[in-house]
Amino acid sequence: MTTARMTYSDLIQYVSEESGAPKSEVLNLTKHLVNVIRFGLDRDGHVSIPGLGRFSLKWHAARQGRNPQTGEAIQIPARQRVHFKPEVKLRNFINRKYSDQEPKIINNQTSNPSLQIQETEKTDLNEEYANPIPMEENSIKTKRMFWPWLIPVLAIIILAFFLTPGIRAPSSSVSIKNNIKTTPQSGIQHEPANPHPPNQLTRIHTVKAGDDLWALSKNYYQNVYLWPNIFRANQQVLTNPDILSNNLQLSVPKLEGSHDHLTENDRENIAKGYVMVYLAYHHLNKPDAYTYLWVARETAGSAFLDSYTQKIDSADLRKAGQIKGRLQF
Amino acid sequence: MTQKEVIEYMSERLQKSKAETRRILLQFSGFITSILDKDRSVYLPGLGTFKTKIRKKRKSYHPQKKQMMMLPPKRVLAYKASKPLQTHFQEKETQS
Repeated sequence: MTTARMTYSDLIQYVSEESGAPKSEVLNLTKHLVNVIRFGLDRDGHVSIPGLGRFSLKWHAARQGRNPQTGEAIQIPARQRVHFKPEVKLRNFINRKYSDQEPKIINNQTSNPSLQIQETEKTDLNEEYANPIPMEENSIKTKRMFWPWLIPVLAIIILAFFLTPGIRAPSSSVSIKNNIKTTPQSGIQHEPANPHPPNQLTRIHTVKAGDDLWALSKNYYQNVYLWPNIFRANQQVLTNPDILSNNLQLSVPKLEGSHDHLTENDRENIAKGYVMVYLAYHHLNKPDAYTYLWVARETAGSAFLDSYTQKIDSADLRKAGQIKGRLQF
Repeated sequence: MTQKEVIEYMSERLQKSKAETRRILLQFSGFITSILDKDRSVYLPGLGTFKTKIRKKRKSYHPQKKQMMMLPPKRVLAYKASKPLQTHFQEKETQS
């Protein structure tokens, strides 16, 4: 306690000295004063003492408390407490040092120290936000430094994978087996599945409800007519280009060029795709399957179909040759 | 019990006129006030302790202005009832 306590005897001594009255009189006064307060509280529940204030009994409801040392819950029973409210004069006199200070509105007070602290905190935050950006740039730079190394390495790996006959052979044999199992009479079908073009990056698309190759082509190639390219890349999982099963993982090969500037390889791949679609539809006995041969010829040139003459029905080839229309991708 | 009643009661016990009793009471209150103003606490047996405290400035919401206000620090009088007085009323409560 910072305030020095004045004992009862000190008080009597002090009052006696100040007022000039004998100590016995002061003792008598304080005794009766305490008595009147007790009497008044007993009788009315409140006492007003001139010059001091009002003593009153205040009802406190039962509440749950805690032992501050052990944290143990304690039930504090309902009780009355003696409460003292000083007179206004006394209150103002005690508070006279601070009486000139008035409540201030915080929002309008820019000079408020707490607000200034908040502002500085904000600027600090901004600076912290500003710092990570150059750091990110650094990391990008390091990534860029890695990229030139990665591309040829990846390309070599991919090339090695596709070009090594030892690796490629088993996969093609598997496809042959599958095709024989499912479509015993058409030994032709497995052949076009083999020529996977090397060094083509592919994306994986998981089939959702409502997907079809047409829509996928529009999504990935911005051109619906390139959908046989997707069919070609997924020969092993697709037999009917019109039917996709849910959650099927389709690989979507990337074009070397873009949909409106196809490279020679792109054209060849797309033409191969169209041939494969023809073979699939031909196998499903679709009457207009031969039109896909025409698209393949228009895409990659008339010489392109010559390499497939063994697999293509000669009647269909003839019909496709009779289509006079021109097609431009 | 009003101030008037208190003065009547006291004048009977002190065997003094009401005006004199009132003057004495105010004088006594003045002494206590001056002691308290010197940052000293006063103890009256059977009544309790008086002392002054400084309440820190604090933020508070003004419900009518609908704004946060910074309330200035304040020096207030604190009173704590003495144990006998406090238990007297608690016992009285349990009896009734």
